[in-house]
Amino acid sequence: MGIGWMAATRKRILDRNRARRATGVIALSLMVLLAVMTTLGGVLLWSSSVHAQQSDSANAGQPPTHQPSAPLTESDIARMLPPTDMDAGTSVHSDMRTSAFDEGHATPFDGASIPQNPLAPNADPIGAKSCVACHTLEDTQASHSLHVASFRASGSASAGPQGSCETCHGPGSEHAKNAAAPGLIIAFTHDSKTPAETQTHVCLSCHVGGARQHWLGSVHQERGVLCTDCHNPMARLSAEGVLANESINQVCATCHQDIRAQFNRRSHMPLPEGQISCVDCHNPHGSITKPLLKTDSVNETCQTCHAEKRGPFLFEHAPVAENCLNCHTPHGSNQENLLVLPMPMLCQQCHTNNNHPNDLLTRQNLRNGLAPDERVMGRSCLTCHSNIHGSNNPNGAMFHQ
Amino acid sequence: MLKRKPLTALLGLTLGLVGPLPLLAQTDASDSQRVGNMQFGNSLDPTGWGAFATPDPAGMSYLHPNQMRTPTGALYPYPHQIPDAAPLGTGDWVYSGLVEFGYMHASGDRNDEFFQMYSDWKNGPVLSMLAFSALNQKTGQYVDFRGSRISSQDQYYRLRAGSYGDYHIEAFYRDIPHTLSTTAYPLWNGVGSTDLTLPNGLATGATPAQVQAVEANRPRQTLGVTRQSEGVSWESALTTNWIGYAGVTNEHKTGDRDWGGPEYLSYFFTTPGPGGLGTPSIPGTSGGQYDTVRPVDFTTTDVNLGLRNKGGASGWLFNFTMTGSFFRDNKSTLDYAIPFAVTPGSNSVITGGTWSLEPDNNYYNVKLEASHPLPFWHGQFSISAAYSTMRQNDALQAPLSPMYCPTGQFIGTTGISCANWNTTAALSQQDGDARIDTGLLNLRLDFRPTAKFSWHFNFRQRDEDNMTRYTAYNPLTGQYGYVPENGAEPLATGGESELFQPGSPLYQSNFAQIASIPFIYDDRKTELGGSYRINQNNTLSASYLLDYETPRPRERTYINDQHLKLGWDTKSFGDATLRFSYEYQKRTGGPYNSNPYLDAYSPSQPGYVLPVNGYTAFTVAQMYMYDMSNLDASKLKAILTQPLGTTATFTATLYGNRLHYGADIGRQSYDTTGADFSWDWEPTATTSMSAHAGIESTRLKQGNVNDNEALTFSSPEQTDAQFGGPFFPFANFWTATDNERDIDAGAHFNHVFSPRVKFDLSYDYTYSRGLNSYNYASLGAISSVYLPILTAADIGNSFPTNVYRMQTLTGNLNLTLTQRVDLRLYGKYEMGNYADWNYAGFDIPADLVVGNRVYTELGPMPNWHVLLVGVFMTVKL
Repeated sequence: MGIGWMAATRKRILDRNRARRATGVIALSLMVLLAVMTTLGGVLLWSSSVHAQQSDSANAGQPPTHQPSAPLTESDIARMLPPTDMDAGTSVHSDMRTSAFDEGHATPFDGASIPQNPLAPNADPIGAKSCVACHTLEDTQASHSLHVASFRASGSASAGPQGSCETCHGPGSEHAKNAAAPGLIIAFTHDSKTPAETQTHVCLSCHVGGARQHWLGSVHQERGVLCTDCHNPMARLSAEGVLANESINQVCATCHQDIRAQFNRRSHMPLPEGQISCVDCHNPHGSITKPLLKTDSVNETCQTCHAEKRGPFLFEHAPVAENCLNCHTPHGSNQENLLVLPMPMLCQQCHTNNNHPNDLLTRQNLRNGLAPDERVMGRSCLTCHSNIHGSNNPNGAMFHQ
Repeated sequence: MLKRKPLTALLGLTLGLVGPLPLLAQTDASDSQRVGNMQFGNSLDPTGWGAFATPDPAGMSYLHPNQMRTPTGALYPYPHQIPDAAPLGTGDWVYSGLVEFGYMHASGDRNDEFFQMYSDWKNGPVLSMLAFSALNQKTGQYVDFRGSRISSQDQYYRLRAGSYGDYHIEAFYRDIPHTLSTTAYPLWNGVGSTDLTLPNGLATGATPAQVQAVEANRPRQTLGVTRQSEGVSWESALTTNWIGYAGVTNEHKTGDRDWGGPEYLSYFFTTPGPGGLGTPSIPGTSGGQYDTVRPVDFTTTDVNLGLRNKGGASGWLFNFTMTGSFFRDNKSTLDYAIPFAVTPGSNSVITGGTWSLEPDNNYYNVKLEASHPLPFWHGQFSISAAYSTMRQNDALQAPLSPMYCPTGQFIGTTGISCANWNTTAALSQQDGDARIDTGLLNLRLDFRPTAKFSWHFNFRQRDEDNMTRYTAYNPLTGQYGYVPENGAEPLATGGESELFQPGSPLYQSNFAQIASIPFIYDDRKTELGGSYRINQNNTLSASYLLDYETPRPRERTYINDQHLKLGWDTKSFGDATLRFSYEYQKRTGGPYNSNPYLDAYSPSQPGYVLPVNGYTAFTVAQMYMYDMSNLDASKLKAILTQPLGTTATFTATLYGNRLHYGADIGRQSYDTTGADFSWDWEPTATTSMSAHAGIESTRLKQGNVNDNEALTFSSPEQTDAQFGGPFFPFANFWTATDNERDIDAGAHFNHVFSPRVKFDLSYDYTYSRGLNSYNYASLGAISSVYLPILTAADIGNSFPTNVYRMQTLTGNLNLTLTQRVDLRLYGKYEMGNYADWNYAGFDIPADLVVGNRVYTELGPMPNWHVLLVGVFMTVKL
């Protein structure tokens, strides 16, 4: 046994060294590739820059297309602003929640009154025309977004279509007077001075309830994730959902990189192939389960697509009935069928019963071993216990039929 | 008809309710409430939006050159160039559209399982994108359509329409492929049907050599399933605050996949090979295992109806949902003929087997969710209550197939008559009559007494009622129990130990399962938690959760699972955001009973006579199942998002889990350690680049003990369940450890050279390595039948290494030919290698016959290289 063990150890070390060498080669290849791509990027940037300079030279004397010729001063901006286009009587001081509770004629975006900015309590609305005077390009890009387009079409009962900027960003008069001062407009980005609660409240004033019924208390809310961490209503980056990236999966992977990596494993849910998204199973806005599942339990979530596993069967398998994740990992696995472990080890964690389940099975029980064994080869335990999720056969107590 | 097609009635009801509803105002599409069919994409374009993902060189703002960041610190991508909208008719409608079509060609190992796993790549024309949008700028009405077709089994089409803020309807059709094996060589004819027959020239009683000769010439087949689904949904405001929604989805899942076919164990009958001890064995004298192929022909219809309130005069946020899901298995049995006789040289009456596949089932769920502000401490009260029921009442099959255990025959010398077991007259009930009901109540209080401090209390109770009761009683014979493995077990062993009959000397002492075991999992979770904002940049949070479970009948009558969680969210490190979490879990519970299932076994019945030597210990007493055993666990995670200048972001995730189960027998520990890093760079609107790399290692260790097989049935010591006793001696102890190492890396580069030329290149690398090692106290750990064959040197300490490595290089070059026409060149090169010891030695079809065993698939290819190229025209409509 000692010699065999040494030989096996030596082989393992050799295997490991080979694997390390292979990994090293791959890592080196990756670094080379990265270096090439970085160089390529640099060259391209340089060429773009040269190209831009050449274009600038070629376009000398013509009005610039996108770049302002010189930074505007605040007084320049104030002078350029058009008069307000807000309706008389538009107020930011009404209680949004109260107005939302009022029953009455249904008008689109009733909940979207102009929110108060706690950092500019005396600001007044100035209307979208004023905003767009400076934020011209933002206006162009936002008009592609469902969020702004819809607002412009329907408008808010209290602010009208001209309130399409300020119903989210709050009244803009103080900001217009002093555009460089942070906090005078409700902002939703990284350097925003607007309190997180105010940002969230703005979004939830319209998007209240429904999928967001359990936002309060959800792990994302508790950990300070804000709506605009996942959504960008200022541009159409995604097919739908005004996401902050091109797809739901890319948005989630911004933080959950470890989970994203699991989807690249041997068996996985078809997420990298674009056939499914994180939000097919999870509700990132909150739910009454810890993993933010859309249903009330793991099994109910899995059985939505795998309805055949629901049964109930005459003969149930205890861990299956309890939780699919007893044997499967939900995102990706190095084993087939998303299993936590290879078989027979997976089954032998629980089955120590007498007779055939508790034998140590070894490499000699492989197809090319000295004693090929059905408990190891191919589908292992499942070759006989195929109905492992439950059997409806009178002879199926051991899931044999 | 109603029993078979209740969905027809429900669909009619749904449409009847939905149809006349006025389409008023104030709705938003709450897609994230719905399970499934949220994402429409494919391998050619996983986002389903790639055709529109050309960055707009103008950027986002004239006021600042770079992109803004999310609150956490990640950069928003630059906005895309959206096709200009054109007037549609003379009204207020405008539209835009895009169609991209072309031809794809794959060369190399295009039939590789991993290459085809969820992509039906074929050589031929492809419609990569058809998109159309129309908008009435005054009314806010819109129509939005996207579709893509790689093949008839890999396509999607989705239509959304409505009026902003008023109503929303959606319809879709899609096919999702899932290739399960591309190296299948099924022995049988009739794959995909419910009846597998032997090919010409084979009949029960064939020798392994004869079967191997036939198997060697079987055609290669691909096994897989396709999900074809279609659905419609609707959401609309009914009044200012009331919103109604409904949806119907129908899915048809078809195909075939690996399955089994037990005709009793073969390894028992292993003998040394022709070279004597230590040479490869020649199994094939008794028993038999068959890796068959089962059909998949499922139809599932889901119906969803709901009503919610956004907060009326009473201030309640309210959501009420009814769900019905109706599963139908259109091929619910599988019969298969077997080539080998179960016992050699006898009139082996068992010539095949039968399976009951999944029964039809219905699932119903009603759920009410409501929340209301509280008048103090900025509080909120929430309640969720749900009731669901799962039911099936399929007609049961006869225990044995009349085809493979015909009337008039007896199973070997056991005296068991086929006629007594091959009709449903042998059953105590004719239908499944299975049902599990579940009730759920969740109460939550949230308070924020100060701007800095918040706390919450959550109570959740979920109870199950499993009403399934089945007694395995044969009124024809007066016996309890069953005849396992299609009758092969009594045939091979010469007796039947799974039958019990009071008063019968032959059966009165058998330890047999005579009834179903209706598992029930009740669960009560109580949580108290809070958070405190120390300053603008730091927030601490903590929570304590007690999860009290009362499973039955299980090894413990109750379990206390305690979780203490700590969190720290900080922006104190410059622009960085760090989210740090730690969780400590401790699980304890009631006394562990290693066999709580006796009520379902014959010793619990009157008339049971204890054998002279007692009955064999059910399992070793010190085995603790990992869902029931004690557990000490620590889980740590940190996520850092670090802005780098104005154009780049660095993200890092570090995590580690340490789970230690209170068990020597069973799962002992499960540790995970990992790190992921990524770097994103967006220097200009026309250039972006990213790279990521991650590594994870896991280690799962378990212990087990072989029983002393010499004592089984022959000694009273077989009843001793103690680890270290005569039946489960320390000398037979063994452990197994699964060590996994995963590496994941990639880089992506995207550049717009000029308004006419766009290029992107991606490289992705995945490497997984698994080593399953084992240790043992003595050779007593292995099956006694192998002792004449195997030595410790043969056994070694591990299985061969499992490997999965894949590298993919993907590139796109877009050339703008005219204002409306683009040319896209697509290329993808994929290479990989793979090893799985479960399939080691299965190299050619003849290898699929091993003694009395017939396998179907060789396993995925060990190496593959594929080049996929495509050329596409993009036309902006």
